[in-house]
Amino acid sequence: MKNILLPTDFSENAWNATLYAINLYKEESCRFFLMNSYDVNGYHEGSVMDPVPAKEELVKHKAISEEKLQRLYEIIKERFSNPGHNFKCVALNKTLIDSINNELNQHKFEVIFVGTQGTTGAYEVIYGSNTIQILNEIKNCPILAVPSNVSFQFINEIVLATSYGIEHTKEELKYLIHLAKQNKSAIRILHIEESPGLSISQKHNKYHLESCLKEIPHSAHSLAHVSIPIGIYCFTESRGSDMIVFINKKHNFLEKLLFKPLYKDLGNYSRIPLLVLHRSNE
Amino acid sequence: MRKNILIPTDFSKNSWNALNYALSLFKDDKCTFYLVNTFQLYYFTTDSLIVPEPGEPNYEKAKEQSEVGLEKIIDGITSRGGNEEHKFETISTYNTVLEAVKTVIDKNDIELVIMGTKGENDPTSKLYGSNAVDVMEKVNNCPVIVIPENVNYPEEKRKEVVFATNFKTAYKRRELENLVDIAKKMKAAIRVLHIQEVDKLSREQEGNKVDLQQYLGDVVHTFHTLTDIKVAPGIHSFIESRDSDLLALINKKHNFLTSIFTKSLVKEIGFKPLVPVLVMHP
Repeated sequence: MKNILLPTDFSENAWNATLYAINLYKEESCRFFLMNSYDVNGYHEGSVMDPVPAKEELVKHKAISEEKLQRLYEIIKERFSNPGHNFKCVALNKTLIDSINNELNQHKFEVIFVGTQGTTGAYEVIYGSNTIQILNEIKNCPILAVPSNVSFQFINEIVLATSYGIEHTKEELKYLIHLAKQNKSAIRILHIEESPGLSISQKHNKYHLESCLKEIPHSAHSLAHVSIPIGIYCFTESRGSDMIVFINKKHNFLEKLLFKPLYKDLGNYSRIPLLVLHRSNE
Repeated sequence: MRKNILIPTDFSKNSWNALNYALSLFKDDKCTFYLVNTFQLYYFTTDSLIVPEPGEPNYEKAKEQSEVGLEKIIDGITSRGGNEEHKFETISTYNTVLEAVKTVIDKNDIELVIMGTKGENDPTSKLYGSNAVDVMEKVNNCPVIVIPENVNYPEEKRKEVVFATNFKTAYKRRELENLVDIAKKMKAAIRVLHIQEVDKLSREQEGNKVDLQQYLGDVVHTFHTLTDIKVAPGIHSFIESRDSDLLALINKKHNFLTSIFTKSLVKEIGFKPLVPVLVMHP
């Protein structure tokens, strides 16, 4: 049985991500963890006056969180009576990242679903700080960010954005391959050319990547004369692709500087789910 | 009804390629193809006041070369068996390409001009490339298709024509018939692409869009929008992302000022087209 983590703040966005997850996994038997972190001890806007909450405050929040999770569970149960799906409610008094790490340490999770604010125009920022934080700090589990205006539909094609800068292992592509097989999706490898042509090592990495994906229908594409986020946006929008994937490197300081804006920019453009995979240990 | 198609040629591989494209495109039609070659003399320019007279040895020599070249092309086509419905006329003329094309269009009731072009990267063919752009921009009473180097008539099943437009000017049914005809001949779907500058279409644009939809009639068509990208790279990205087969544009008339300060779209696209470009006129 697969474990799937669904962090929720009971917002529309989170609910939409939950629906997406349940639909995406309707053919597989899974255990969904509905997780809410209520974080009473931490500083948050409502508690400026009283940074150290009394014990009863804590009990109250815990009760509210648990009650809401229970209600959420009942709504899901009513809407989807999938015998293959189990649900577990988890209420944690921790920050969001600590809560996720707490769960990741206890169980092996296949993927984490995160809801993000959807948008119709390209100019609005859709990834909230929570999403950016999760994308940046959680490095040992695939993350699927679902915009709130996206409802689940057949995943015809998944766009894998890559610079061919590193040799990907089958291990780090495992989840992508599984997802593509399960949904009979094609994978479109997209490279945004910064300079014309590929270097020898890029060619090698491309060849290697394509051989990793050989069981799945795939094709390689490249776009030139556009920036990376705009290129990815144009490609997916032009083709009506259903998901973007990219593989996050382990961040050192420099990469963090380079990569963070990419998430932000992608957030501005993406109107389809974004799957982030991680480099396996080097 | 017999169609009259004009094909300028300079006896290069590109113009031979354009001719083949034309023959495939019109394989089921009764057509007369007018093959036009323009010849010039090195020490006379067509603009100069001293015009070489017919009868001068150099003039006669150049003319003969031109005629022999055209003869060879006809031989080449007929030796392949050819198409009974296709007729050929050859015209050798002392003129610039643009002027020759204009003259032949008026004289022979031409419906469509098809010509080859080389990309601007090829230093040997700057001339031919700019000729194609000249014809695309300046011939305003006849649609023009420009075929880039090495592009063959698509034989695969799934074909599509991208019609890039901003819905800003009212469409003429008569002009769009060229597009509809070509899409039908190619058995292609039409993808109407709008590179959007502002969030919403104006009422006028909405109205034009409705008209367009009606004019496209029973040809399979879909509407697509890209935002946050300039028009030329947006169109390029769309075509590259989808592997489209032909791009259709309406060449807007530019007033004197805008033509000085901005490159026209046809110029921007026409110098290095990825796919055949059909230019229509408002």
